[in-house]
Amino acid sequence: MGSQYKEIAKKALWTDNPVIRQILGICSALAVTNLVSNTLVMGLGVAFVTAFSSFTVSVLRNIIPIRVRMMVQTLIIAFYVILVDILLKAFYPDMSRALGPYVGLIITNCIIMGRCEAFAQSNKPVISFYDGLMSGLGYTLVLTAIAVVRELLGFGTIFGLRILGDWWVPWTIMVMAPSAFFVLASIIWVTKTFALKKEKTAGQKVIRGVQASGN
Amino acid sequence: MKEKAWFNIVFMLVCTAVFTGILSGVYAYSRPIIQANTGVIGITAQMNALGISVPAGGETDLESYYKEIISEENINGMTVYKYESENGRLYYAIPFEGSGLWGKITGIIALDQDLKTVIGMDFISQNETPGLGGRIEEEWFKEQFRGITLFEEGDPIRFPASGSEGQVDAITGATATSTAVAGIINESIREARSKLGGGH
Repeated sequence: MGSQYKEIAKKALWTDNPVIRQILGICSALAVTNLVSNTLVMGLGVAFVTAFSSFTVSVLRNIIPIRVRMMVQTLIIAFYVILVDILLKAFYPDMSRALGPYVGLIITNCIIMGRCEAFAQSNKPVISFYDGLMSGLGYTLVLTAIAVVRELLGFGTIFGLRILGDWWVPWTIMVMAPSAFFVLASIIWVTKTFALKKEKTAGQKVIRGVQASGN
Repeated sequence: MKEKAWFNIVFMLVCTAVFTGILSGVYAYSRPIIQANTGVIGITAQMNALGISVPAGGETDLESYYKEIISEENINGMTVYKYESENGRLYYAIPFEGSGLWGKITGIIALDQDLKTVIGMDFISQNETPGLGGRIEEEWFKEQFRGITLFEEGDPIRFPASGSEGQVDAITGATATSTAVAGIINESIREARSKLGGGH
């Protein structure tokens, strides 16, 4: 059981990361990553919604009719997103103001439905919750990495604190959405080329093994 | 199979009813808090625009203080907030609203009774690009408006361009938002001039 949890965390955070390996959640990766603080809140919001949606879907998995399951999943996701929105407005009005319409856009994040459909639909509630949480954190991790690069080059700051001196000329492009494409693509490139190389060759061996046994 | 289709619909209806029911409950519970928050934001914006320092203390203090010094009035179909300043002059706080680059921008602009001088301005809500258009919320941008004299002819507020005068600087890299803000404020100043102008 313990190794299963470890495996899920490793997959969600690194080897099968939703953003850099599954290329999911790209829309918000472009939209919110120009300030680290906004990115973190957005990431935690997604992690919260993914975890609880997966949990709820898993609890209901045996009674949801198979034909309407995606409708029910969307309903559950929308439920949690609106809940987050209301709670932020009531208890963290400043944060709610800063995030504006982004909170509502969590609904459109493909990772959440992906985890409901791929994992929660066929697993027990607690481990589904954990899987959703880890996927959300994997998403947060990559987005924060993008945001650090963008905020540093675009403003010369991190978390609003000045890191680079007055000599730094901010790159306006880094504040705009297109730069997220460059930064994200670079991150995917670097991780695929170097860090995930081992895993790739291991995968090829498995495929060869399958072929061999097939023959 | 026929029974199943019927069950699907009922299941969906029940599910929707349960989830929206819970949400309605949460919303009903937090609505007074949200409204209080929105109210505080609006009041604070008016006070900032009028140059009144916001008193420290709870929300109830703020609200009663606000009601003491500022009165709402409808003049010729326009809602304005009146405040008598320490130097005996009447200030108008005028709400403005219009489209920015991405969404609605709302705020308050305060004018002197002669409608020729800006006392100050503040935003209530905006959804501009964080770091670009979103910088209209920064102090340096808002403080530029304090005490400027409006142009009599043409646009009351202008950004300085080559060969023409202006009172406030636009935001570099956020031309669309800057232009929108100037447009929205100018529109409300024109309305104020036509509706409040003849009255005194």
